Amino acid sequence: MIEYRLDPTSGVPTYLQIVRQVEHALRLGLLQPGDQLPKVKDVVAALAINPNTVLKAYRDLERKGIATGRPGQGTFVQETLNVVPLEGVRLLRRGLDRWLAQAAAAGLDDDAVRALVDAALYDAARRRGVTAS
Amino acid sequence: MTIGSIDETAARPRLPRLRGLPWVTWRQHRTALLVTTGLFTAIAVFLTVHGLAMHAGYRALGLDSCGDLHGPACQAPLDVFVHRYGAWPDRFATALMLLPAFLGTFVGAPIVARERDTGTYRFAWTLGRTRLQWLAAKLALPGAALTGLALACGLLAFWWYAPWVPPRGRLGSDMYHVMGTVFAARTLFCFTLAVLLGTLIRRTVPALATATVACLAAIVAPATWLEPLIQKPLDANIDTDSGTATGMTVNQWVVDPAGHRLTSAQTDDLDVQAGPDLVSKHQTFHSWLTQHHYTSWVSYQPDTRFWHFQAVETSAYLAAALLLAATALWWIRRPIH
Amino acid sequence: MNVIEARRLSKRYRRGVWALREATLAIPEGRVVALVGPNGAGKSTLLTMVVGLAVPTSGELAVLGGLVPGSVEALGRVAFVAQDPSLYPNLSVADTLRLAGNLSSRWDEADARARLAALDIPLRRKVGQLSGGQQAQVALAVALARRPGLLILDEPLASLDPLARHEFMATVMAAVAEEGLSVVFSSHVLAELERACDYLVVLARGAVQVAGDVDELLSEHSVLTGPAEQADAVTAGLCVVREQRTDRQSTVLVRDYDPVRVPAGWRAERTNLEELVLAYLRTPSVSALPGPASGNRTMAAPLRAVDA
Repeated sequence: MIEYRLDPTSGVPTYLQIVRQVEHALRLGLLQPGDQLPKVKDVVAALAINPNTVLKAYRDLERKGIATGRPGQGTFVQETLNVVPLEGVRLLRRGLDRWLAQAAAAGLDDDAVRALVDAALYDAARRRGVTAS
Repeated sequence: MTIGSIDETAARPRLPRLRGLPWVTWRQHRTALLVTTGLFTAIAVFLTVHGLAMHAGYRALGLDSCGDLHGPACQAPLDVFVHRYGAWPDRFATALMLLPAFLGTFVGAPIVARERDTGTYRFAWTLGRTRLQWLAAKLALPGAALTGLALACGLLAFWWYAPWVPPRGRLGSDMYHVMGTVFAARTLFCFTLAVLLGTLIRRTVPALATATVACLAAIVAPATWLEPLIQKPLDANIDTDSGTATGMTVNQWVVDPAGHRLTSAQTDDLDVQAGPDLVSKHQTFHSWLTQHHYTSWVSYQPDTRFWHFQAVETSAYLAAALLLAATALWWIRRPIH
Repeated sequence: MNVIEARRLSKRYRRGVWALREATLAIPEGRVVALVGPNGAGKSTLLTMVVGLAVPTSGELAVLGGLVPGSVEALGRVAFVAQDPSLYPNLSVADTLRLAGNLSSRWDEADARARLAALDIPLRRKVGQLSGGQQAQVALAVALARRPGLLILDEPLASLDPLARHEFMATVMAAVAEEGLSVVFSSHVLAELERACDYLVVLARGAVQVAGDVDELLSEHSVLTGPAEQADAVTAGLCVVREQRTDRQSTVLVRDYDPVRVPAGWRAERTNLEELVLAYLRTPSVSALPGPASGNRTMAAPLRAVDA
């Protein structure tokens, strides 16, 4: 079982934060197919958020084929995302480290790096056509 | 009124198992009601113990068997009895006459005022009962308890006073205010007046102060000015009408041998004129007047009218109490803000 | 069913001040509503009328599908937690529960006791000796044990520390998840309600300025940022809620905007609830309300309101 945590300053909608954390946990193998996702009531009691937010996240996961709702029981992980092999993750990380070193050399501080990454992610998402509204 | 699963085990077994608004009323006003009950119990114990002794003293002195109390046979024992117990009726009446004002205020004024003062009305009046139901319970139950206790006290005082009826009568005594049903009616009246003032004033301390003053006035003023008007008083010659020994004297005057009623100034002049005789012959002014063919007259309420007076006054206070309660109930339905 | 329905609701106090003026509002069932607005906007006035402590000067108000506020039926199904919890300080927690149970038509004592036990609130302690957060939790436990259809919370978090706020909100949200009751929170601090509510009502100067589903409101509004000299051309014909201009850049909150039409050099972004509320509150002439019968949204005020 995983626990969600929220970053109130990220600007990312709460339901999307939950969706991403489930996806993240799947990629890292923390969640396996057949695992139950935290119950809506428990999530709500822990995070003090609107139950509809959790329901919306779970619907989103169902739509993506990641999870499936079983009436009266809860929501369960259906299949694993395309797990990037560990070696692949290492390679990407090494590339990112190199890039970060270049950014630092170019005079970017952490905030500038984050802004740049956010902007790149935003543009990429727009190209894919999944911008928020 | 359906109540869900109230925890039954929490209820103390010695208490009657109340539910709903009655329980709430009891829980919130039990201190006031227990203090009141304690006070009345103390009064009752005193009245009983003292009354038994006084009644026994009356019999022991032979006052129940000496014939006409105003005759010579009873004179000496009556003097002893008066000397021994004579101050008690007035003492007792003075102590208790104003009790309804203080008790009614103490129990009644905070009922609404404190809720408004502390803001707890927002809790109490947004649960499942309307303000009207809430106030009706808080008027009915403490009102009934106070009235019951005061009635018991008044009837006990009625019994206690019995030895003083032959020499003094009930109507003329200050104990009139503490005996019978008037005492209870005044208590209920003061309680509803205090509840209404608390509802209007909405602050505990000002409500207590105002209600105390208002209740005292509502007891003293009618007792002083209205009571004698309940029935037209009778005029009687003190010497020929034995009924004048007891009862409530409203007025007295002297009539000269020619049949003219004297003014009080003229009576004072007579007193001065009689002065030397009174000193030298150890005479009373009254016997001096009789000797000189003057007659003494009173305007009075005969003691037989005691229950009539009690009934009239009781109904007046009860009617006023009902009116006050209805006003409080009407007022509380009004919007808060 | 609408849990709160107000039609041209007005309230004037004795001093002659209008706290609410012709407010019209319909809140659907099953929502968690954030009722926000500056101090003095009429939030408390509206809620005291909903719970029956005050009556309207004019207009109509009904709760839970037509019940008269303050009637026995309405009192039995509407629960209220006042800003300062207003419990009896000299009663123990257990007696407070018993008192509320004796005054309620529905009452789940076990539920209340379980909630308080979970929060380690001792039943024997006098309410006056509890912390502000614990008192709020007792008031909330009482409200929830009454199994209400509508829970009204008037500034419940105002006097609570952050942990107590979180616990309070968590309790309310869990109750919403379990029982599907409708909740109306009022607050002048939107941030504390943002993740809890799914319906927003903004009151300003005694009138309803914004009302609607939070997701819909957010998806209907966009923030456009671009060169100031093009701003007039870009915003022509748009529903502008608020525009802020420096000599170079213009930031415009618009409504019903199609993001595909973003012109070159401009950027369209999602707005957040706080930004949206502030924009409306700073521009009182603009409102966003559900249309009369059709449910369509209408712009009820001049299309443009520009802050120079």
